[in-house]
Amino acid sequence: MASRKTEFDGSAMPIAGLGKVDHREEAELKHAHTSFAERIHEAQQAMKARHRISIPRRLGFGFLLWFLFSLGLAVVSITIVSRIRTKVVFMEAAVNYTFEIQQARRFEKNYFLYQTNLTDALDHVHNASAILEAQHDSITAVVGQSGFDTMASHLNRYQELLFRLSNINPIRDAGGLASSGLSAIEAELREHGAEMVAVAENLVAQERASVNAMLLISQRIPIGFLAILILLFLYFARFISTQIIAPLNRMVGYSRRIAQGDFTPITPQKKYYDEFSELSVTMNQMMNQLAFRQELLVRAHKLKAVGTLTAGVAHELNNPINNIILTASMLREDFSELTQEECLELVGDLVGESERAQKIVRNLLDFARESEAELESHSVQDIVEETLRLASNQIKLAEVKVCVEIGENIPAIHGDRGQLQQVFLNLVLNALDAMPDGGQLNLKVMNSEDREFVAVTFEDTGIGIPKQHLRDIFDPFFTTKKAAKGTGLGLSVSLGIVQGHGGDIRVESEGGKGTVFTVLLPVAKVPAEMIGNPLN
Amino acid sequence: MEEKKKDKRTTSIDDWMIRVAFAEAGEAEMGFKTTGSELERKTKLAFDKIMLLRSERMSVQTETEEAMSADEDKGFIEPRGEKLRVMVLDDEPIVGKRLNQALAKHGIEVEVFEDPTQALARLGEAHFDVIVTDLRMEEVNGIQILEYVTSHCQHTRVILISGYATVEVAREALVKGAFDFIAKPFTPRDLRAVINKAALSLGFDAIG
Repeated sequence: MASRKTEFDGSAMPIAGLGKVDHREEAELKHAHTSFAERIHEAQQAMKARHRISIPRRLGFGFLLWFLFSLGLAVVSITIVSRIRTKVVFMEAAVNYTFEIQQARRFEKNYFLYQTNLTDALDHVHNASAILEAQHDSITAVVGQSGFDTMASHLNRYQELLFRLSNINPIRDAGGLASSGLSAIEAELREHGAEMVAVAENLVAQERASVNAMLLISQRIPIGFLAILILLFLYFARFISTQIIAPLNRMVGYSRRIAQGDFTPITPQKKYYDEFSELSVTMNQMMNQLAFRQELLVRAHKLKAVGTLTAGVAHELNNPINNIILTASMLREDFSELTQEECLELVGDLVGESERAQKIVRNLLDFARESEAELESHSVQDIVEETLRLASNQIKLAEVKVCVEIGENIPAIHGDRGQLQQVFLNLVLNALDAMPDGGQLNLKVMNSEDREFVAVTFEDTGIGIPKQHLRDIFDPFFTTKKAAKGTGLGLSVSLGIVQGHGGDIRVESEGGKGTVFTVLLPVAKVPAEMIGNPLN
Repeated sequence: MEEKKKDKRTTSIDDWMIRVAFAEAGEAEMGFKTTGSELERKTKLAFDKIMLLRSERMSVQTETEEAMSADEDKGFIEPRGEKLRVMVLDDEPIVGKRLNQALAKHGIEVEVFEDPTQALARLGEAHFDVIVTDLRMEEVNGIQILEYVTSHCQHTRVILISGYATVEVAREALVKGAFDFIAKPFTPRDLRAVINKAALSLGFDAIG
């Protein structure tokens, strides 16, 4: 029977048709994707153009500085300590020298009082002279060559006078001449002696002061070291927080943003290129891939929706085709008996029904074809009406009554018409699936309370969503439909699209009573021409 | 005993329907990899079987009716006119116009309705031998018409037509006692063939 044959003829055809659309759309999809890829590429280039300084290199440089500073400090400390040691040795010598001079002067005094010990005095002067000889360099360093010469000349003169004194035998030459010579020698001896003692004591005092100063310095070095250490610690802490913790936090922020579907490329935040820049570059690449997959997913899901609609369209097409076949058959059967007017009426019906068939297909083709993502200002109302027209066959098939309520003063929204139509269509088809025995679908377009968003509400009287499933429904691949019926991508893709528009989808449901989906879309605030590509 | 026989045939129709459904599900699970022709072949096979069983059942029914009318109330069928009375009900006006034209010239009395409620009202007033009705209409659908006719007019054959032909719908129609099920699009000749069969089963002469 003819009727049975025709029933299944249509099944293979729409799929072949879709295959063709698929090829062309893939090219368009790639084109749409390139503009995004270019933005990513620009960000990557800007990032890579930065001067390259890696974190280990900066840390290495810091540690090198730290090492050099410690080394310098050690050298300074060792030098100071060794200098103190030389000074202490020298001071000992100076003290010895002073002691020898003082001894010599004591014996000299004894000699003048008791005419004894002159040889002892000479011995001590000789010792002092030896010390002076031995310490020539260190003394010169302290008092200078002239000072040393004065000291040496005083000592030599003193020694000479003592020699002269020993040559005069006081017992032998007791007389006026001897006493007068003695007194002259004694005066000169005293003068030189006093001078020598003064110089020697001065030397000791100077050395002591210098040693004290050095000790003070060596005492202060650890304190200074500690202070610098604290400064270094502060610098290091700041380095960690600005160079490691802050970029890490930034990266966490980026990941969170990406997880929510915002694929704005990461732009350079620092003047140089380091490991975190590397991470940013990789994340940009990842976003590029994610965005591409997301587009593929949206496209795949759109094709699925087209497939669903095709079934309805194929059924709906049967009506005009049937009218055409009936009319054409009657025209052929009764051609000779019909008047010209009757023939014209039949032909008119043929044309009218052909146009009707064309109209049924055109909506679907428009939906399937439109692919270039173009952001423009749209009236939500128009998109909702288009969607309902697109799904009209499905709605008729499901025996669902649709009520549309449009609020007053609904502002325009800014977005991609095709994508939003896809979201609405998905929600309508879901609602129809939830009402297998028919029901009512209420569509409302309203302003949100703060007037920042346009809220599109889809309220069905279907089976509802159990509470335990409510938080899973937006997860990819979650579905309660039978294996071949749902992919579990519809709501996930829809949410992706709406979030990409800066909006959100909310859901409320009561098992057995129905479900309410609300799509919030931000109101277009700037004229459409002003919103260009954010990177351009 | 007749009742049991009917039931048996109805169950075996159901059986075949289930097989068709399984074949479809199997195709779906394979991810539509097999060609449509394989599915078509299977479903056609199943449908042919169903139609065979159904026509067997119809002949049993007709025999019973004839036996009944012969035995008890011969006069009840006699009032039917010479001409076959057909009601065409479809919300597409063109269908009514063309079918009227196609059937009237073969000596069939045709009444055309677009509104199913009006058609139901007319069914209460007059007797029709065959009702050709669209399945999917606003307010009242073809199945409801079929149910009304099977409960009120015993000797009326119902032929369902639909653009939304699915296995489930065909099954429901046939099980609920439709004489035949025609999927849109069809030619006037297809419909005339089915009406002819219905006329013969009612004891009329062949049309055309």
